[in-house]
Amino acid sequence: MDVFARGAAVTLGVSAIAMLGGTLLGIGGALMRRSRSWPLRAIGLTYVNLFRNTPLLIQAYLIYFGLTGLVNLDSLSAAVIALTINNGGYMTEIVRGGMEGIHKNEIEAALALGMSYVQALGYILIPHALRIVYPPTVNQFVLLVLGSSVLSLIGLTELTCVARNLEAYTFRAFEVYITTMVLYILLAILSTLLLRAVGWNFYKGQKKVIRN
Amino acid sequence: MIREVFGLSSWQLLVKGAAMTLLLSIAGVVVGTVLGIFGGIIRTYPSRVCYALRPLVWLWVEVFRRTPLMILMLLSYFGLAHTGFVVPPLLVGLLAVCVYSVAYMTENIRSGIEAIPKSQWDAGLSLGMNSWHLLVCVIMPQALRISIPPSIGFMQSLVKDTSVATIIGLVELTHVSQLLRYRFPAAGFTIFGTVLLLYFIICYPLSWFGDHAERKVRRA
Repeated sequence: MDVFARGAAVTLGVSAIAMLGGTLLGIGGALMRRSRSWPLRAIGLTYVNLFRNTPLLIQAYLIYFGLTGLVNLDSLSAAVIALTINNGGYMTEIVRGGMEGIHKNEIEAALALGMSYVQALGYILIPHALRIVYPPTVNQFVLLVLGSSVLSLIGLTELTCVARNLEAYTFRAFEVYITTMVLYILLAILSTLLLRAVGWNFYKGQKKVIRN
Repeated sequence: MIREVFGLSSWQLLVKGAAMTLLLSIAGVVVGTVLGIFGGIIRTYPSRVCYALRPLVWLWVEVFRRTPLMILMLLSYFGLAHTGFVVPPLLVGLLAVCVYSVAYMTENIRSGIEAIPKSQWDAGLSLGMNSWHLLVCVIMPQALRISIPPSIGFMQSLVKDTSVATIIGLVELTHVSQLLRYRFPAAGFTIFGTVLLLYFIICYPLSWFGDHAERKVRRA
């Protein structure tokens, strides 16, 4: 049972790091995709399409086994990098959707009040967009928790890897995998509820904005 | 080195792997769509049989949408072997993919049916149609149209998700990439880059088509 708890902690930790990093990448990517210069737009589009149309497992293999000539990553850092970059592709599209929902007038108003463009982005556009994309981000986090199971194949000791080791020790495949399945379902439900509660508290006064 | 990696036998393996990936995905999509239509109807259609089956379908959807496909594969392969049924890996892979895709497709079809306004049911019933006739001839054609874009999106992610079938020893694209890496340990980047590109070639048209369909449905 102890092992399972540790595996679940690794799964959650890796997903949380990838979510934070992915959100940052997503903000950058979304700004690039909406940028006025076409090279930046092209880079953003290539990033999104490349990482959303290929399996996370192959991306992780490429980073873990394919880069051995350049850098020698251990499995934890390779897993975190792969999951973060992969999630960044999805978050770019989510954040871009949020930015599309913001009226152009808001930016114009900020500029008219004497803010520089960077200030308008940092104080108005990005916080507002993040508020709008909070609900889809919660869903994306659950997908990350489930998706991180493939990282066991590059040796990350998360929930699936722990289960496979335990099965190798005990030969009780059925019990071990049913338990793992229940744990994943619990993790998914609990993290949804928890994140929703956090979001509800965080954005308490701004319900109308969320609904828009 | 590069020329050795891309010798004839490597290409044969890659093509075989791509065929297996496609077989798994297409089987998942076909079974998922057919059973998903039944599942979607059961979750929305008001009749005694559907009411009785509804909790079962609900449980199926809620459980299998929250389980990684990898755990399903491991459970059905090693779990079944543990209980005494020794099933060939291909059958296990197909089983796991189908169980998984039925859950997602049921949800897609259900949301399509629920997007049709209630007034259409009332209108049809008041015109004297019986409710099966109404479902098949009025509701479903519109509902299926609405559920096409999310279903194409799901197909694309299913192609990517079948990569975990490597764990039960199915020789699909991901497994082939590992085999090639054992054969040419120094060419990891080339090998995984090629396989990445092959997945991209399969998935990109699907995601383009999905976006296109979504725009079309939204305009209608």
